[in-house]
Amino acid sequence: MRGFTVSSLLSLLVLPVGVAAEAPLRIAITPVLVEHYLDVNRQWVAYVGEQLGRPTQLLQRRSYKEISDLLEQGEVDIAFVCGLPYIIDHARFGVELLVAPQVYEAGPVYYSYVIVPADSPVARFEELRGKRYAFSDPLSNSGRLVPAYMLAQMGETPDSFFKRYMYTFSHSGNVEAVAVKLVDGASVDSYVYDYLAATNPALTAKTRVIQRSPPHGITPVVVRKELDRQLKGAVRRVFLQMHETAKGREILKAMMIRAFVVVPDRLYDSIREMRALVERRTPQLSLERARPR
Amino acid sequence: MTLHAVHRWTIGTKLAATFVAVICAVALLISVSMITHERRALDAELRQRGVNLAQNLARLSVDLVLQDDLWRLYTVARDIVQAPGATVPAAQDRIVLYAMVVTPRGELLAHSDPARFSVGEPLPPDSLTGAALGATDVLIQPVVTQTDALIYDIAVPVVLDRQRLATARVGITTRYLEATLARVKREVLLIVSVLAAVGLGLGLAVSRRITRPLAQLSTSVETLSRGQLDRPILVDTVEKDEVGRLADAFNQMARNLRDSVAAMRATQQYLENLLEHANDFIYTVDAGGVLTYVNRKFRELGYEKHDLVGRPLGTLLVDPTRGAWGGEPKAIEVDVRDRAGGIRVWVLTTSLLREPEGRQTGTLGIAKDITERKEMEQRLRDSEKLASVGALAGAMAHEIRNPLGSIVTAVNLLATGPGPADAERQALLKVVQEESRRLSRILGDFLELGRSRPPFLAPHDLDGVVDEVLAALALTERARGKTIRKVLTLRTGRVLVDADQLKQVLWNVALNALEALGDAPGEVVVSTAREDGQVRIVVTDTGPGIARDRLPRVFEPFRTTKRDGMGLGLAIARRIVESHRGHIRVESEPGRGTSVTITVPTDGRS
Repeated sequence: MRGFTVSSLLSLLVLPVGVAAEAPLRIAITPVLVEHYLDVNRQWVAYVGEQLGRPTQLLQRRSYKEISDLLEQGEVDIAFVCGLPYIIDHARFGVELLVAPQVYEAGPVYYSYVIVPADSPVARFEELRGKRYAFSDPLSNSGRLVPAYMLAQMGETPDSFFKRYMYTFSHSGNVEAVAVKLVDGASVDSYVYDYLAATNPALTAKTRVIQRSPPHGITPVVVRKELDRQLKGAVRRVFLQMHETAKGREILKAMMIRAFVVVPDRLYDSIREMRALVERRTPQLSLERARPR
Repeated sequence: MTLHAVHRWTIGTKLAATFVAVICAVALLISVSMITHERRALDAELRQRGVNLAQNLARLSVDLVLQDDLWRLYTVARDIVQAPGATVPAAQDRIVLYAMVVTPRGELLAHSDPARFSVGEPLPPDSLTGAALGATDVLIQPVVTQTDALIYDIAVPVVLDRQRLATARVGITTRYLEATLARVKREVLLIVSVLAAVGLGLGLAVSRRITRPLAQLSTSVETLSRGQLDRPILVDTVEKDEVGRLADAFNQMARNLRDSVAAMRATQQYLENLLEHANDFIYTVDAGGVLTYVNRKFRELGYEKHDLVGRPLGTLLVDPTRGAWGGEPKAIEVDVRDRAGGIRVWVLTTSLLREPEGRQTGTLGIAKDITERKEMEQRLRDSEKLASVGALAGAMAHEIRNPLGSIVTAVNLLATGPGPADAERQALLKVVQEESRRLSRILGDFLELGRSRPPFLAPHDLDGVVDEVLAALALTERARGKTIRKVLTLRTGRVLVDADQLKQVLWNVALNALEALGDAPGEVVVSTAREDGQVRIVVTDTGPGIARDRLPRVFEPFRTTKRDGMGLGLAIARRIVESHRGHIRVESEPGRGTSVTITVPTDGRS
């Protein structure tokens, strides 16, 4: 009790003068990225705070939908989201792109993999008809929109094509669901899959990639439109210069990210096109319906 | 191992074995009880854990079933099986075999092993599943599988608002229980082993304390029993218990025994020395006459002990039939053969050796070698014989020469010369006559001495015999001027005697008495008496008596002091009296005369 009193007094003394008095910068992520990624996330969030010279707060939510709501209500300043939520939120309440990680040499893009159990006879996505399938987040591009788009192209919907499907709300969950044969196939974020292949090869060894989608704009770091313009710039600079500091390089290496780069909005047009097709073919699959239960 | 083998164990082994057996038995009882208790406790704990897990699964499943969130149902089922709590940390042994959620119709919603049990497929219908799906409360079904140990299938209904959504099932294996029990058993075995080892050690230590003096005692007794009594091994113990007291008593006994043995040895040595160095031949024979001991003296015969011991005594004797082990108290003479073959003479006394019960076990012989003495005696006898023959011849020649010389002279005078006058002739003839008579008497005496005729006993009036002899004596030359008195105090009556021989005795004795008086006047008194079946004749003279040193030899022949006697009279007298089983005795004191007492039995018997 005595210690508590002393520290409370100390914080009262410190608050009015230091930067600590400013409201912390709130950064949100979902586990969809990588489920066992929390420590890495903490590191870069803390790094950003250090570089900015102001406190940061890490918020983790289970689904993109929850993070979108937080962004819309101004309860989160910065978020690591998928390209699909970005285009939706950008259209709805003007969320802005801040930066995006470059993972592959090709640029700030990634792919959607179709994976099956390593010993599965399935060789093509079409062969998964009548089987069990796993999506990640309903608002995930690679884990949901891309396979829905592929089904739409085939004139199918998940309900018509699969015997049963489920949402794991994380790409690593998808990999595990396939690895333990809970499902016969799943769509996963190529970055997550490759990250797992490097960090947990025993898990990915139980799976096999049978299909890779065309490149799409990678999951960006977005910022709330109302955030202070100077702060936006400062945060962007922190990200863009991350690979120039030793600690930043260390964090990037752990995240298997080459660097953060500035990306244009049109990078996500391919996602907009896929969404348009899927919405046209299966209007019942409104994005609003797909909420975590 | 037979009971017989157990009998051979040392006390130490027996004690240690008892310790170990008791400890093992107690430990076994405790172990069985412990293991039983442990099994029960583990079993209960395992069931409880399974029930908890199944209830958790059911609770978590309510929302997820409603949301149809198969992924999270799976992760819950997965975590129940894989969570750290589902394994036994020490054994790394999974106790939860499976976790699943099943719809009321039997469709699988989630399974911890989706690779084998496809989600969305119906479970194969079996009685176990049927019972689980029908359970309204926690249902524990024990299942024995072929590959696993006993399994508890625990089913808990997933219920919301009394509506059954699904059934949560968890499979718990008792393998961990068995493994734990096996570990417990191993530990118990280890403890029992340690206890047994401790018991063994303790038993050995305790028993060693007890049995070490006993073992020493045993060794010491064996030593004593082998006869090594002089240096007994004393038992070394400081204990004051029964064994200690036994050891003390034994030590005292051993010392006493040692002292007694030493004393006995000394005595034995002493006796052996006596026997060995005795100047007599000493031997023993057993009842069969075989020599069992000879002393060192036998070396003088050329024999070593081993030459004789074990051989019959008879081989030593010249005449083996002589009972040299007869045990007669009298000494006997036996001839023995020495090693060189010479004959030795022993004077041997034997005594019977008897056991305390009286049975004869043999004979002890003690002998003196008298060979030399015998030879000497023989030589002495021979020389004495020669000497007495010489003395006899000399005495005879002397006795005969004087009268013969007188006769020769008288005869020469008669034969030569002009013829003597008639009176002279008569005197010469008388000389010849007297000297011839004297010669005849001398020769008669000799003959009498040499003749040894047994007396012809006949009843005679002893007084008459005495009268007759005294009357004849009174007529002799010797009696002239002497007084011969007869004192017949009692009537002697008829006595069985050889009258002629008795007359001779009386004559010789009385004549000696007269002669003892010499030329001086004196008196000879002859008295007779009868008492106690004997008659006594006493002849007393008043002569000069006999010198004290000569008195013992008066009966020996030729011991005379007289000029014209041969000294045969008393010798003859004694022989005759003794042939009558009587006695003749001389008493004398110089200057006070001599008294000769003759005693003969009245009936001729002694």
